[in-house]
Formats: sequence, C-alpha cells, structure tokens
Amino acid sequence: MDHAGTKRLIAYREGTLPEAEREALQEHLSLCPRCTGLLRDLRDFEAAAAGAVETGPEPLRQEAWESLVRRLPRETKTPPAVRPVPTLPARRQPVASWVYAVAAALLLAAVGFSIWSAVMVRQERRRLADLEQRLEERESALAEVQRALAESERQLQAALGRIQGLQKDQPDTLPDTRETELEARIAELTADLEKLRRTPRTPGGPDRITAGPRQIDLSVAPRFALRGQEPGGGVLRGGGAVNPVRQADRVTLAVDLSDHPVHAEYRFELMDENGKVLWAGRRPGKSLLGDAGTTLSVSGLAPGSYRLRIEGLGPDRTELLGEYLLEVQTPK
Amino acid sequence: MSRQGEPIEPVIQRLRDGTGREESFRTLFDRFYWPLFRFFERRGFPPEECQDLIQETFIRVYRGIEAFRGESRWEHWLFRIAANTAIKALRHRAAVKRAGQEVPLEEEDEGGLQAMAAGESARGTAEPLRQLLGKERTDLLIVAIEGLPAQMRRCVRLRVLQDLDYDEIAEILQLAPSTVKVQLFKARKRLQMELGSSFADFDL
Repeated sequence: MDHAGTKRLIAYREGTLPEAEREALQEHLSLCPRCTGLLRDLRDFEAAAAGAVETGPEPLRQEAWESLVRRLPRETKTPPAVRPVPTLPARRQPVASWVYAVAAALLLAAVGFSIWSAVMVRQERRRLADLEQRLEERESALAEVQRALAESERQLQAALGRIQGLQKDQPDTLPDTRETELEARIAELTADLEKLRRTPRTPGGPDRITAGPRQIDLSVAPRFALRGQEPGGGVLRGGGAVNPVRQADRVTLAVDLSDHPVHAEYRFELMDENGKVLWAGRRPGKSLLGDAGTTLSVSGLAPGSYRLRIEGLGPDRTELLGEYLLEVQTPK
Repeated sequence: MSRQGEPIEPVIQRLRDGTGREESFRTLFDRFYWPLFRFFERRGFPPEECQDLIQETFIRVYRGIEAFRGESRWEHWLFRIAANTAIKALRHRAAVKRAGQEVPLEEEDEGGLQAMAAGESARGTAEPLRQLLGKERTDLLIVAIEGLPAQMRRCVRLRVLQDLDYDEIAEILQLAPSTVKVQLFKARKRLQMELGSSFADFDL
C-alpha cells in the first residue's frame, strides 16, 4: 500500500473510511513509522486547536500577521462577489385600472421622497463641511502645542547643557547664585513642559495625535545593489529593492527578492558605521508562492549611519547580493 | 481575538459570506497560529521557516475558503492545507539542494507523503531490531509475527518495530488500551511457543 495521505488519515480519524480501507490502513500504519508520525501530528494538532497548545512570544505572532497582510494579493483582499439571485421570467397579466392609480400614487411618493432626500443630502454636506473645518482647526491647535512643547524641551536641554558645561569647566567655582538661578529656570521650564503635556484637548473632533515616540526619517542608498533591481544610484525613498517604511521609532525595510538568482538561503546583517553587527538573520530560499520578499523590522535605532548587507548562501559559496547605506535621523 | 473554546463555525461563516472578512480572518489567524507553529516545528522546520509556512497556509485558506463546505471538521481542513504546505516546502528544499532550480508544484497530497519518505516495510523498519537480536533471530521473529492474526500482528509490529507504548498503539489502532494489553500478552505466549527456548526471555 502507498503512504496513507492526509486525506485518508483524516477520514480514518473521523471514522468515515469503509471497513476494508480501514483494515488496509491499519495494516499499513503498523508498518510505516512515517504515517503513524503524521497521524500523531494530526492528533496533536486537534488537541492544540482545542486549546492545549504551548504558546510563545506574542510579537512573533503579530509580526507574522503584519507580514501576511502585506503578502495577501490585492485582488483577494476584496470580499467575494455576491452571486446574483436568478430572477423568474415575468408573466404577462392583464393590467387593471386600479393598478394605474396605485402606480401614480407610488410615482408621486417617489418624487416627494427624492426632494426630501436632496434636502437631507444638502444638510448633511453642510454638516460635513463644518466638521472638516473644526478638524482642521483642531489639528493646527495641536501642531501649535507640539511646537511649543519642542521649544520648551530645547530650552531645557540648552539649560542642562550649560550647567554641565559649567560644572565641567569650573566644578568648584560655580557661584551659588548662578546655580540657583539656573535651577529655578529648569524648574520653571519643567513646569511649563508639564503644563503643555497636560493641555486639555479642544472639544470636538477626534484626537488625531497621540503622545508617543518621535517619528524618524530614514533614507536608503545602494552601495552594491541587488542585481538588476535598483535605479541608477541616488537616495531611494521607496520603489527600489529595499523599501523603507517610516514608523514611530521603528524602521521597517521591505526587501524585494523577486528578481534575483536562486539561493538556498539568504542572510541579512545590519551593522553600525564601524562594521559592528547589530542584528543578523536568515531566511530560506525562494518562497513557494512566488517570492514576495522579506521584511526586516528594527526598533530603537538611534540617529546615525548603518549598513545593511544581503548575502545569498549556497552549499559551497556565499555571494554578496547587495549592500545598502541607511541614514536614520530625527526630523528637524 | 476569539476566545479559545468559542465556536469557530460562525467565524468561518462570516469569512465565507464576506461579512467582516478581515476581522474573521484575523480571528482565525490568532486562534490557529500557535497550533500551526508547533506542527511545522515538529515537522523539523526552523522557527523563521515556520513563520513563512504559516503565512503560506493562511494565504491558501484565504484563497480557498469558498471550497470549505463544512463537510469535514474545520481543523482537519486546515491541517490538510498545512500538511500540503509542508510537503511543498520539503520538495522545494530538496530540489534547490539537487539542482538549484525550481520544481513544478502542482501535484499534492495523495502522492505527497511519498516524497517525504521511501517505502517502508517490516524488513525495512526492522533494522534496529536486527542489530539487537542478530539477523537470523530477527528474520525468524518477523516470519513468526507475520503468522499472527491481523489485530495481534498489528499490535506486535507497532510495539516491536516502532517501539510505541500501549496507549499510543491503542490510539493508532482505535482500540481500548486493555485490548492492546491482552493482544500483546497472547502474542508473547504464541511467539515463545513457536520460536522455542531462544526466545524465552522475549518480552512485549
């Protein structure tokens, strides 16, 4: 007997195999560790699906979900089309005069409804315009608060810098009055900062900006581009083999490997400007559903220069496929 | 996220008829991510490859959910997709190793498991036993096992050739553990009688 096949093993578990087939399968199972192994995997999967499963780190699942959403082909994202319900052919019947009366009444009702709808639509549009205007006002007010917050922070940093400078240069000779003055200024600025942070939200309109880490700017420039994939030099901001995605305090690089020689495995290395490897990872060769690329997600990168190396690994050789310069900076 | 134990059928129904499709899909993903991860892990894939295979499994689910009509259990349908995904990955890996070239991926499932292993037989799986008992005694034992009644023979093979315990044998053959125990007890008596003094210490 050939190996059982998942379909037959499932039917066996569900008890839907005919007796003769069941006997033959049991005979095969008694001889074939491979098929008993798969049957035990099926049993374990049932138990895991029912909740008896050892879970792992949550970020792993979240990462897989985000990657999956990116990989879902666009055309499958739309919901399935609703199948049209077949209509029965209309039967011709003699038309009575009362039917005309009812039709006229319906027509009048329809005209009335249209006029009412038009008025309602106009009102709704006006309301929408008002809401949009309020939203804009709210956004500009928030931007103003943020600017003020940034300015206070800058002043605070400057004051701290001055104190540190003074302490470094003349640690023992700093006059008490100057120190007191600076400390008072710091307290003042800190209070301002706290006040700004606690600024109540303007009523109306959704809260569009939440407190959180700063955005970072990222640019990627090829040093050695993936073969045949990069436009001629210059700084890439999307559209090349390595597409940077800006997120709050997090760099995500979508690497497109779709047009490159096949390798058994790929190695990715992220280095700082001194060549120290900060992060390294591997992924297997081309995916089975065509290669939609791979995604590297690195958080907590400080502003500075980094290098991303991409290598193809074969059984007996390693090929440098691409090397990219990453410039991470906080926006001015 | 759907709670564990909550019926999955309504979620699948919503995914099938397109109402709250993305949300239902996320619910399924969350609920079956770790079961799939453990399955691929047990099949010998490293963690990063497990991630890829889970994604491929769910892409197939998303594309093929229309074909699931509830005739079999949902987790069995999902398991079949996952097993096929694993087979494809193993074939692909083997092909890359062989020739550095892509392989056609059409044929699946029924013949699929054959790609995972060469054919097995009592003689093929008896190699560890042969090392333990010696060639002559092993061959004698195998011939004697083949002469046992069907159910007894299967129990003995799973015990001797696959080294499984009573509970596992019972689960695989869909028998009560007490039945397996009785079958193996009887088998030992018969084999000792048939094979004589050289198997006096033979145990099952």
